Amino acid sequence: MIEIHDVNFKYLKKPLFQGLDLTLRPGNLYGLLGKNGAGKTTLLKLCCGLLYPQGGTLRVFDRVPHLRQPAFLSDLFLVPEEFSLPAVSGALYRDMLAPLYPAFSRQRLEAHLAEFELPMPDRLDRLSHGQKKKFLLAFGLSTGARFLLLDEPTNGLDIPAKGQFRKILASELDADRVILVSTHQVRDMEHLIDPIVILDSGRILFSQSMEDFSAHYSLLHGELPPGARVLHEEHVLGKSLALVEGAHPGALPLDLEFLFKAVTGRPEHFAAAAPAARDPKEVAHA
Amino acid sequence: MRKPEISPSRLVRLLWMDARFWTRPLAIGGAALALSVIVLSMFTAFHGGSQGLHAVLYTILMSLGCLVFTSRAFLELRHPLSTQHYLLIPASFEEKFLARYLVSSVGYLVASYLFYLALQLVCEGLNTLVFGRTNALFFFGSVFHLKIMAVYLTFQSLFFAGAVYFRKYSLIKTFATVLGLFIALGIFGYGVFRLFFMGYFDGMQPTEAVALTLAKMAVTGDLFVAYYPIRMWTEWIAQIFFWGLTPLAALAFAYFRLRETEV
Amino acid sequence: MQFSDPKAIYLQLADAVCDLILRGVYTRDGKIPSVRELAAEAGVNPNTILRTVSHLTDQGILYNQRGVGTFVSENARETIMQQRKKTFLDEELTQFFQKIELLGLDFAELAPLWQQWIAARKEVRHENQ
Repeated sequence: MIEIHDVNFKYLKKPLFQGLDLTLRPGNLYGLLGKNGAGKTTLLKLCCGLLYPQGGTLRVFDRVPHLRQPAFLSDLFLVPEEFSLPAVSGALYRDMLAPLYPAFSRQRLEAHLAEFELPMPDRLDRLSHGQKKKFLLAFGLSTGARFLLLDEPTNGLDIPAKGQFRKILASELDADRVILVSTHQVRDMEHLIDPIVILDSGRILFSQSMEDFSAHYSLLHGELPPGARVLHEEHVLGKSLALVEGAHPGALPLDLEFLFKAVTGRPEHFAAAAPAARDPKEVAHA
Repeated sequence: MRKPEISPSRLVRLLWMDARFWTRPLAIGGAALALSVIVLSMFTAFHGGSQGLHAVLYTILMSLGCLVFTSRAFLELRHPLSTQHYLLIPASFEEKFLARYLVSSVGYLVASYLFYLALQLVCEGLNTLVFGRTNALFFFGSVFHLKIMAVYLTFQSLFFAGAVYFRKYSLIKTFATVLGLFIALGIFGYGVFRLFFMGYFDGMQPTEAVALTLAKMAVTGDLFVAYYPIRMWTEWIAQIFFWGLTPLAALAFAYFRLRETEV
Repeated sequence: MQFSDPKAIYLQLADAVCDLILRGVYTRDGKIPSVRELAAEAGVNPNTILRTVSHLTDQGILYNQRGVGTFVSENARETIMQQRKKTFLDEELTQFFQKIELLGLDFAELAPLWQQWIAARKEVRHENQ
């Protein structure tokens, strides 16, 4: 479990997080959404211990990230948006780093690389950006780390790779893992990331599963029920598409882009209404 | 606070990783160096052979080479992306710190000596074949050499701290900082001395009477007898500072700096 | 997989699993792939698949054997067909009648069209054989 409680953080003089609270539970694939500069990457770095919180408490599976203990680091893997790989072969990279991750699985690495249709690279630094990303994603997802942080994982992936990535990611979630995906590319991640966490200018506006959200809000197309409280409305070819309060029959499955616009358009409403985090859901081992 | 964590197997793994990363640049550098040493040794052998050539060359290789190498010990910290990768390698600060320190200090000394030993044997073997003359070989062993090594390790610790502190151009920056510190320390020492013996000074110079007395004592040799205890004390203090405190402070500084690195 | 349906995703996935049962891909008393495998195949959140499986279990279409896996019930086909008939009669047929009314069609006009369609189907089947 990842517990962030009352965390403060500022860059030089610019405050970013003030009293940030967030709980991430095992067995879930969280999607972290937010505009540019909302603090998504900073949040990921705080969770990894790359940045130190200036107040509050931060625990990742009961460990303090910024102590950077080996047992903490080997139970976590970050795939940053931008990164560089050393001038060695893929096999050497694996042989050097994999022993430091006790739960690493060579079979999984090979399966993921095969899914991405990427042969084991001869020189990692000479790969294209997209290929580097495939390699690091495949490696990171094979480490067996319980906490995976992926910053814009689909950026730079080609069209087939996006689908391949969805399959790999869906196959890697299990009951004791937390996967946190920060993304702008909501269309690439639709129906995969859930619960959704929305970060807006350093505040958590929203943190819940789509199922819970659908119990309280509905996305309706066309005629709206009388007296319905509309939170966000858009017109598509003359027809209204609206998010209204309450569960209504005929509600459409929620679109992440629409949800994001609705939430960030009414920050005060959602920040105040953000319910307590729900109980963890377990994924059956089968 | 937490207690330090050092696992020998992880330490060995880090050392091995570093060795693998450095293999290529070191092989290229080593080959270039070997070539120039062979040419130089043949040149001196042609002109009659030299007693000190290998001693001088090795000293240069060891001191300058190691300072350059030490300054690059934390090359990852130059760039935020590689810093990130380095910090997230599952090993403790102590292990990362120790791995780099061992490689850049003792590791480099031993490796450079073995390398040079082999190199000079090759050179002089060649010279014997070509000219029938050789330069004197250099072997490590006297107490004097050990002392030089110790002095050198002290300086190395400063450059090691510099490698952690300065993200770019750490060699030049450390050099400038050390030089600056020495000058500042000199001025400070002189200032303290001047304050302590206020009555004996006229401006920044000793008064005429003092200067005359000192000159007389120097001529008779009394100066050294009279000031012997002071000299002893200053030497002791200087030695403690230089041998004990400098490397300790530099290494502690580097360690805490590494722990605090954020990206 | 496309999700243009106005149905919740887990129900769309349930339909897909039912289709596979009807087509005989998943056989009676046969084991269906694990949640993880289904999630990987569909590229959707495993928790959604979990909801799909528990929904189908509640319907009596699937059953769970602890520690072994999830299997297709003996009368899964019948249950699915019954459900689909019910959905058709309760919902889709209503919509169909609404359309006929809306377009001002006479129901009697549709009878010959139905006969034609059946005949065309027979021909196609004939050709395929």
